[in-house]
Amino acid sequence: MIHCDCGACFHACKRPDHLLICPRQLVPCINVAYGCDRRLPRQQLASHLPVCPASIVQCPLMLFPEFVTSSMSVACPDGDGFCRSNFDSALCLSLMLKERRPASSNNNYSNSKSAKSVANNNNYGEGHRAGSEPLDQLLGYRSQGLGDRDDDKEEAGEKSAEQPHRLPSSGLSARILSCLAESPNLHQHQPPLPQLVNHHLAFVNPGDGCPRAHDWRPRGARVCSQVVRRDEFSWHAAQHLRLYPNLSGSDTLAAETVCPLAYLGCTARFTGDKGLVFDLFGHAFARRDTSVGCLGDEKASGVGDDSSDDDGYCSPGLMTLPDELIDRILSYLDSHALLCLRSTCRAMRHRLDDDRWRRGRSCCVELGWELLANQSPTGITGWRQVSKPSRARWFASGQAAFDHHRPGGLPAAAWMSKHLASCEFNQRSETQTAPVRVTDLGLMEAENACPLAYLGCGARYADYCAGNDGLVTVDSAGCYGNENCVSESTDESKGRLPREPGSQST
Amino acid sequence: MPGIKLLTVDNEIVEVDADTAKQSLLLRSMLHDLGVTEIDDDEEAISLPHVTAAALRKAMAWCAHHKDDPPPPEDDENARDLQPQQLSSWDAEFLRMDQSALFELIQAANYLDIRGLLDTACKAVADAIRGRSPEEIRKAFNIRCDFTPQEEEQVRRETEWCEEK
Repeated sequence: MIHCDCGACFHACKRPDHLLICPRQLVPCINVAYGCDRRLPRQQLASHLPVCPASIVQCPLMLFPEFVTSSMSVACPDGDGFCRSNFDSALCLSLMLKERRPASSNNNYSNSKSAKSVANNNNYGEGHRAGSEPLDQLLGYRSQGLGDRDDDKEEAGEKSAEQPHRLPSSGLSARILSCLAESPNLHQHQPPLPQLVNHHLAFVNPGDGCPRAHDWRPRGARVCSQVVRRDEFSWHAAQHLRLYPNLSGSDTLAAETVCPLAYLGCTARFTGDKGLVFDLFGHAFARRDTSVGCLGDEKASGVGDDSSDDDGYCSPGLMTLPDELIDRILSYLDSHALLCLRSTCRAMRHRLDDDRWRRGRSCCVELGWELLANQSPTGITGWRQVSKPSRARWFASGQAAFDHHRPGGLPAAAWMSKHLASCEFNQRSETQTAPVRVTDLGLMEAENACPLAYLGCGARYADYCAGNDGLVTVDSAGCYGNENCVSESTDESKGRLPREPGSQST
Repeated sequence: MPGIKLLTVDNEIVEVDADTAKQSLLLRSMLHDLGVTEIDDDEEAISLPHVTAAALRKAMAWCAHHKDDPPPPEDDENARDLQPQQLSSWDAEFLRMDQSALFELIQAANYLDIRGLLDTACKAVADAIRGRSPEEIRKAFNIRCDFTPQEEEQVRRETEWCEEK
């Protein structure tokens, strides 16, 4: 008989069996395949999982700029071509509410006064990989979207409107409406009906009865897509709402402070308001509050002079503090600050690479993507997900970027029209056939709507397709099924862009 | 009010109020052990080897202001709020000082074991770090960048996502 540390007593021959259940046995985190390389006693696994750095979600917050879709301008009977619709978003929200499990109030938000809605969906991260849908299905969404007009229009008091583009797929909208009718949450979140004129549905998944949430990404919507650790997600979402307390038009549009043609390589950014912190997609998610650092500013002047005067440097500095005091200071810092601090010098880097900080409160891990060594004959670059956790990328959770944001005062959007008029990447009337230089996978995923969508262009780009073998091929940015790409404020070509067969490969 | 004499590292004798000084757990236990109740001119000053006079005065001023505060809750790193906590205006004003003085104060608070002051001062330093780019932090805290170019490139790649473009 042997005694285990855990208190169990068993025959020696049962030892292998016991190790399978022993609460003291060191086991790898169950997320080891997703990059968490933590090994810990089995009994601590449960407490680790909520804060496991590999347990991450992609923030699905959709930002609706003041979007106008081409389908709307086609269908809109009152002729000005610019109809504002919040029905898409309201419907989107309600459908998500119906289909997904109930989310907290942080995660769902609808501003019923303005014509904007922001919808969050916890599962969007999965659905976000919409590029894996077959291309013809994408096209399907497109044509369905063009054809569908929602029957609620009558309720909205617009009976007289003609319906120029009703396609045979009208049964679909009936299904959607039945979904809507069943949705218990709809009426809490839906804006008052009389506002809902000329609404239009887009991106309907023709496959199943009720559209999935990720198919309901209205054109022009921007997705946050920041990777956040699961337990920090609600905080992250709350910060979004803090950032956009009233989603009025100029605010939301101004949040796109990167050139919409950035995916073609344009690096222009709106820099009028320094201090805004941008995420990958140029969302102004946070504002740096320069007043906070006043303490350091004093020091910068004071100590900087001191050290230049005498090289002795005898006064205590941050790095000369005892270890426990540095740790104490660090424990008040968020991940963003820790990351910045880590980049300052070797000692800090070494300290922060320590397990305690690296796997501390605010870190995430994500598997890396590796460029394939041999390129396919078509010259298309392939990507392979690196399964070895050692290649995993550690980074701070997305919550950090929010610190010190003070809402209000976002810049106006006139800069974008001006910039687009002269942007060399704004190629008119020609379909982009050159391969897109993809710098980041996230960018690929996000940019599959025409960046001019908010101006009325309805083009969709299939950025990439993932096959079953895990390979992701970068597609050339062909325009699919774009009809009546209409733009009012720039000289974007009118008329249709030719449909370009995607150079898809395995 | 009874006072006690403290001999600081820079050979200065600072007389402090005993009640105030008792906020320092170190001084409290010292006074308890020594049984000091009243000031005595003949008595030797207590030697504090790691505390400068300026920092001690500052620390005692903080203690005097905060002497009616409830004791800080138990330290639990995990329980700390993710949100940056605002310092009270008095504390913020109090901690407006030269960087080296602030670090001296932190060390003094650590040595004297004044938890509230230590927390407050550390928060102030953390506030100064937060929201700054690595370059700004280096400048503010006089940290010399000792990365080799390769390391620097690596660091840059790792933190690319968070840098302001």
